[in-house]
Amino acid sequence: MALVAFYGINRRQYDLYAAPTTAETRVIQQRLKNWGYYTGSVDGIYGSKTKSAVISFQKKNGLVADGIVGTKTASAIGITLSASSSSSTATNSNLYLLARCIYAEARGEPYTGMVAVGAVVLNRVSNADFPNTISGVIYQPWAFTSVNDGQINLTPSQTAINAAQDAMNGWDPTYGCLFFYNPKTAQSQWIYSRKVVTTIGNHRFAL
Amino acid sequence: MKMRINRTLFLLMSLAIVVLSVIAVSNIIRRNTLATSLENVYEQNFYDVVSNVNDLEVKLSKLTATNSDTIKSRLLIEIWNQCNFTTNSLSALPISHQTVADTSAFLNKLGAFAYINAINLSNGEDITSENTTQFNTLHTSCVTLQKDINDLSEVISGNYNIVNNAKKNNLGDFSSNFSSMQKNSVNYPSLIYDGPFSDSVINKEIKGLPDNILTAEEAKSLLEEKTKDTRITKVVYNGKTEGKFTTYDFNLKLNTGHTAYAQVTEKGGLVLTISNYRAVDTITKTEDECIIIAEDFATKFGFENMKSVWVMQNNNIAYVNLVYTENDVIYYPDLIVVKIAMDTGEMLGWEAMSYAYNHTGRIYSEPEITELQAKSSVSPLLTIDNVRLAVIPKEYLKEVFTYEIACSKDGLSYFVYVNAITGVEEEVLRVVDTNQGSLVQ
Repeated sequence: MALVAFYGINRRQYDLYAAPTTAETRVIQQRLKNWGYYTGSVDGIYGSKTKSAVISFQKKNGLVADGIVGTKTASAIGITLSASSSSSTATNSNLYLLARCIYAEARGEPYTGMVAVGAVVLNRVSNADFPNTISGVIYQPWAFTSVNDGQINLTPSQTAINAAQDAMNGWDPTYGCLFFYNPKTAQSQWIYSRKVVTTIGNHRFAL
Repeated sequence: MKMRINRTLFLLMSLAIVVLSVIAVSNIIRRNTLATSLENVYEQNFYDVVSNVNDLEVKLSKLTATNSDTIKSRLLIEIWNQCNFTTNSLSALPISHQTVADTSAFLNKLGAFAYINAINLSNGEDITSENTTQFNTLHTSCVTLQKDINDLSEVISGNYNIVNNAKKNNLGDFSSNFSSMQKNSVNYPSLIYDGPFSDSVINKEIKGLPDNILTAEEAKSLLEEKTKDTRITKVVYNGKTEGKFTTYDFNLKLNTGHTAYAQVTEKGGLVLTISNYRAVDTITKTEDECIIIAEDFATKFGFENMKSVWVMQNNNIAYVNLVYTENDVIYYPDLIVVKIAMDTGEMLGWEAMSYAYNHTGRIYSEPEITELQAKSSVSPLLTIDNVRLAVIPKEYLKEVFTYEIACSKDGLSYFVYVNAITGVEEEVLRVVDTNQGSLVQ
């Protein structure tokens, strides 16, 4: 589970299991209390007491005793976790910004091409020649045409959000590329001097 | 009669001219206001760069003048911070990437180098004499940069307008001012260190690929063989990627009509990436079922001892994280992420880059401190829930053999990592709940 932070070093973030909300935790605590597994107060905080109550509940009911209220444990307790049937709105602002950039730059491209554009942004973040944040990279003047002409403000599709999620989870079909361009429309001569690593859809990806 | 029509027409025309003029003038005013606000933002960022570079020069010179570790450590942290601020402001200026890349690289590397030295100092290590020499050279570069940027600042504080002088294609005066500055000053020293932006991190060694070299044809048949009995009906070769990894790329035709994408390494023939997407609307598989599917794929693709350490759900897709496990030791760096659709259990994605970078025959099995000793070094304010052995990646390219101790306090969950050889606390992470799930930070 802790890998998330380790990979934070590489500026990739991993989401973990969907945790119950405070309201859901209250329901869990109340039911476990009614059934005699839980003796603490019904405060909505998923602390160690709640956790050990969940573990003994899981043991008693033949579930994996990990103290985590996943889909199975939740249904055994008789609740549905809101997060597991999650809505499509991304709440992570970096993820959403990346998705907007992917949508603006690559919405006509194959899925892998969309992931690749996201990976280029993240590769830039960890490269010294570029700004050090996702927003810094995306809004760097003239870095992306879609930022200049305002297309970055379009609402991203669910596919773009998924592609952004994959890029953040480490998918990089370009293996470290820092640039991409469409040879049909590229205006800068300079970009042709970069070493092309791969072509996905209409985009060439380069170092 | 005719006169009257003419007069009416004249009045109407005049009215139209007045209205149009008012609109035109108010548009000009609005545009000027916007241009002025933009100019102000640019100038603010520019002056931030100037003052930060001036500060950096002073701090670097002080660093070479002091003999106190406390002052050194404070200066190093300040230099690191200041470099971050400067690159942020720099990247907001209307200058093309080519023009600013070297300056940005200088600042980023200087910051990272300062940070690494600060960490070393806090661990009780002195700044080595090589590093002291490097700081002297960096100071010299910084002096030149400072002179050039202050010259530019004099130009700008005259009647200069950044907005008017910033144009992309002829690069404008502003960019060319920067460009000549970059050419003059920046004879940047190359830094040797292991830290962010260092060459060893950027060009990190790939350790996990077997030695045999495959042809495209061999890679294709390997993939066909490993994906038989799946929804994949046809494997089509689609060229080669020559980045940090050299891979053969394939389009996979599925019996659902979708096309997925896969990459197999030229060296070692490892299935490195599979990427596919479709919307998943329902959940019929449990997380446990998805874990079994993911682990089966790992076995099928030739990866032994891969165990799920956690699963994250997003839009009815399970991201199963598998890591290499041997003798009850978890090797976090050797990670493979597998995406499973929770409706049909179809595999939607596979990513083995971390595994390919890190997996070697290394074995950590004998901790030198006991579990009890490890537990006793955890803060007494925490309640210990669970302990296991784990190899964790540490900043920068290092690995540490640790006890992973899951703890809780006041309803919050923490992971404490205690070095299994030295007993030093290496890392502490906290689980943060977000409405998308939990993260650790």
